[in-house]
Parts: sequence; structure tokens; C-alpha cells
Amino acid sequence: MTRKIFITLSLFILALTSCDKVLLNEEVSNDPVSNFDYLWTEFNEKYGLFEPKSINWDSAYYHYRSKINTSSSEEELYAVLKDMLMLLQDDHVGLVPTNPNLPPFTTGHLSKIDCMKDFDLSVIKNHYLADFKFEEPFFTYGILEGNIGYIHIEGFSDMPKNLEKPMDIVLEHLKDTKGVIVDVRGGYGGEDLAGQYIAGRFTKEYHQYMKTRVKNGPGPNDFTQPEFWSINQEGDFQYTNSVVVLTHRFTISARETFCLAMATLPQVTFVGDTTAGAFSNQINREMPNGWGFSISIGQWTTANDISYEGIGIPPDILVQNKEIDLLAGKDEALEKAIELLN
Amino acid sequence: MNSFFTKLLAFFLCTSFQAIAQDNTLIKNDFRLSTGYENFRILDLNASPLLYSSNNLLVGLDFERNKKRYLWSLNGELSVGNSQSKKHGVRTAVFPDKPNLYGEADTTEYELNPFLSFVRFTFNFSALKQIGHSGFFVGGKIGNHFNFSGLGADSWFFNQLSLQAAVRYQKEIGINSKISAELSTSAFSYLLRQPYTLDPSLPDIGYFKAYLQTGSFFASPNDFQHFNFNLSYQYSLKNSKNKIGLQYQFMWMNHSFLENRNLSAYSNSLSLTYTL
Repeated sequence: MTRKIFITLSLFILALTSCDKVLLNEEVSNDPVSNFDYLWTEFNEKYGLFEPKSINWDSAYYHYRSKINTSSSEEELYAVLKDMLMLLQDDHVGLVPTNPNLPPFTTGHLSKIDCMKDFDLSVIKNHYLADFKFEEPFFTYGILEGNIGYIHIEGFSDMPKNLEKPMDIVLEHLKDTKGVIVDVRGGYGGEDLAGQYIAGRFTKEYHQYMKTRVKNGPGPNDFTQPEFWSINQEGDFQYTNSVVVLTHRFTISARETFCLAMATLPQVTFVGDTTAGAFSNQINREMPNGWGFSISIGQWTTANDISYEGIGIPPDILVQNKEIDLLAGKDEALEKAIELLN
Repeated sequence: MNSFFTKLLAFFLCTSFQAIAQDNTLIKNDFRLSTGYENFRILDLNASPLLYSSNNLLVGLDFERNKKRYLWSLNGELSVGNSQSKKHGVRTAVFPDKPNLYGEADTTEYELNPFLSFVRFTFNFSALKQIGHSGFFVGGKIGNHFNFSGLGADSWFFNQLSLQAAVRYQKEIGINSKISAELSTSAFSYLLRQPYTLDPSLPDIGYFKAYLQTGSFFASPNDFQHFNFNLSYQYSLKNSKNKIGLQYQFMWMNHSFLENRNLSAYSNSLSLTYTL
């Protein structure tokens, strides 16, 4: 009897160890058509910017679906998905195939720019900042000729509680300058909360600057209630002299939402080039074939509902650096900022 | 089915607070350490179309108190390992950076779900009462099960706080051996799942509180099904009160969450145990 119970239990346990189909739901099928349908559906349900960008995603399905069948190759699937996603013109939308012969891409204007030819921090360090310092996690700062402060923010990837002390150190060093240049060119995006905190170190007043909502369901109008973002004085002290913010086409995501916050401050002027135009939060997902992709999941606007998605924030003064000038050690946008603060 | 669970729940609540006459000769306390291997599989269609499998190291600590016909136990378990798509295995995303002013370019590589990208922690408190003089015990559990993992090219988490009905059967085999089997199921759960787009975006309250606000809810057995099965064998060492043993555990859960967005998972584990 004991032996029978033992054998029964053993078989039962063996069955439990390999019953994916019984115990779990069905994995999504991995053929070209299923992959296309899956990607299209994920965007249909989670992408937050069809309406602001006036994109008819249903039409995209009918147009591109006809180009795929179950015998399509990986290369053909890639080409069709690339053409379809390019309709979105969004630097937060991208595809990362697992096939090393198929290059990853994003679909915004940055995909058309071969390299960053209009900014390099080494030019500023070598030709403008005699004595620069670096404060973790991402602040390069110093004092330029004419007693003008300079802060380059490499990224916005840390949370506000970790930024108070470094900002204290940076602003303490620059507190007696007549103005500060905040340079958000180059680098990468990060956390909107970081930008909110840093902007709060430049004001003593409350300013509402942004409204956000994200998809919370599959329907086209399934969004969360809008969240309003504001800045107010942060830290033990704030820098309230004149500020010039330097931007260019690679100023993206959390850097841009930081710019929206700074744009509410009367003492701030923007110099350089238009920002990237990719504000929304982005999530990373994968397809049944293992390829990765990213989606913008919400609508990020100014507090009074202006959307710069796909457009970018234009500067107050347009200055587009030339590669030849930079290679010779001249950053024209920086020099314009210095001129304004002088 | 629901009335059966209701009765078990009521029984647990009644027996938990019943006064028991003191009889120290019948009190038995056991501390048990366990370590072993666990395989955890999950398919969360809201996070990824792919089934993920993780091979984990499992460590556990149990305290069990047997007093007359009542069995109280506290149990904590931690498993850590990696989690990869069962179909595609390890993947590395390679991003060529744009060249800088001087034409220099790097590539940035991200390994999806690196080693130790899976953590699971469970904690349970159970109270069971013997039925007559049989080997059966019935009662309930309060348990919490927390999961964190790389899943779907992003990070993923899940937490379940639940009230469970439990039944156990244990039997002495000869002088030195004991076998027990326990089955429990959730009657009522408080779940924490990431919201629909896995992004709460609530600026003022921080991510943790934001997830609690946007992704937590109560679930009945109709929405969330959860079973645990535990089978253990213990052998008393000669000239010692200590025991060694083997323990097999199985867990299964299923959460209905929007059409075609179910979460389902199951795990199997095998551990060596040492009871003091």
C-alpha cells in the first residue's frame, strides 16, 4: 500500500514539474503574422500619442499587415515593422531585434542624425572652463570668464533625495556668480522627478509646469486622471540670478521636462536648438520572437495643454553650432549665453 | 465551493482564539532549516508574451509548535536566481551609440535579466487543529508572497497578502520516520501588481506609494486562484532529537486581469531539511 502511494505521488509530482500548457496560459505564437499582430496590438492599446499626432493606427494595420504572411523572413518582418513604426516619428519608440544583422532603430528625428556634431563637453572643458569640477552623480561645473557659472547635467537618472547634497555643493560654489548657464545638451534622459527637483533649486515660488496622464486600459480613451507637476523652492537655498539653459536636438525626455519647468521661470532664457520632442514615459517590452521594443505610454503637455511631442521646445534664441567651429574649440551657443549674462 | 471556504475560514477564526489548558508534556517545538532547488515559471501576459523560467537557490526557516491538538507554525523562505525566457534564453541588447564630434563611437550592451535577477520571498503563519485523533489537521494561514524579477525587457514585481484555508495530514512511519502533506488555498487576497502600463507616474508620492495606489486591490477566489502543496519526509537521527528530511513544494497561481492579460505561475521545489 505504501509502495503504491509512493509511486502515485511520484508520478503526480513528475506531472506537476512539466505542465506548462495545463498550468499556465498559452504563450503567444511565434510566427511572422503573430509577431506583427502582437506588436500592432501592443501599440494600439498602450501608445498614448495617436491623438496628439493625428495618427490613424487602424489604417496602418490594413496597409502593413498585407505585406506579411506566415512565410515572411525575419528581414521582411523587420522592414515592414520599421516602416510602420516610422509613422509615429517618436524617439521613445524603437525596435531592437535579436538578429545582429538587423540594426536597432528609433523612429524620431534622432534616427536621421548620424552623429552629435553640435556639442562636445570636452570643448567646454578645454577651451572655456579653466577649472572645472565634477560632482556625482552627473554634474560638471565651474566658473567661466566674467564670473558666470556653468553647470552641465549629464543625466537625470537619480532620485531627488540623492540630488540635494550635490546641488548644495554645486550652487554653493556658484552662489556669487552674476548668472549661471545650465547646459542640458548631450547625455541622456532619466527621471522627471530629478528634473523637477533641480528646477526647484532655481526658484523661491510655486510654478505649475506640466500635466501628464498615462494609458490605463486598452481603449483609445483609457487614460489616468491628469497629474499636475509643479516646482517650488527646494533645498536650503536657491539660485535666483539670471539663467541661460542650453539645448539642442539631442535634449530629450527628462531633460525636456526639466526645460518645461525652467521655462516657467522669468529669469530663464533658452539658447541653442530645438529639443528632441520626446517627453512621454517609455516602457520596454518584447515580442514573441524575442525582439525588444519601446512605447511611449502617455501624454505629457505643458500645464496649459500645449504638446511639444514630435516637435520639441524651440529656444528663445536659435544658435546652431557648426562642426567646424567646435573642432576649432568654439561653442557658439555657449558664447551667446555668456554674452546674454554679461 | 465558496460556502466550503467560508466554513473553513470561520473554523480558523474560531480555533485561533480558543483558550487551551496548559500541559507542558505535550508541547513540542521544532526549528527547521531547509535548502534546495526551485524552478519557477511565469507567464504574465500584461508584461510579456513569453513564458519565463527561473532556476533558484531556495533557503527556508520554519518554526513549528505542536501543543496538544494544535499546530502553529511560522515559515519564511527566500529564493534567488535568474529568470529567462524559456524559448529564447539569455539575450543581450546591443545599441551602437551615435559617433561623437570626433567620430568616436561605442556600443552599449545590456544583458536582459542578468544573474540574480529573480527574488522571491514568502512568509506564512498558520494555525491548524487536529480532527479527532486522526492524522488530519485543518485551519488557516496568513501569508505574504513577494516576487521581483526581470520580465519582458523590464523589471516586474508582484505581491500577494492572503488568508488561506489549509489542511494537513501527517503520519508517523515506524519509530523514526514521519511523513506529512499539506494543501492550502487562498480564500481572500490583497494583491499588488504593476498598473496597466507598468508605470504609475504619480510625481508627488514616490514610486512605492504610487504602485500601492494604482496597482493594489482585493481579489476573491473568482479572480485569483492560488494553491500550495507541501510534502515532507523526516527521519530521526540516532541518539538525537534532530531529524533530516526531504521536502517537496508545489505552488500555482492564476490571476484574471483584463481579457488576454492573465498572470499565471507555478513552481516546484525540492529541499533538504534539518530539524532541531
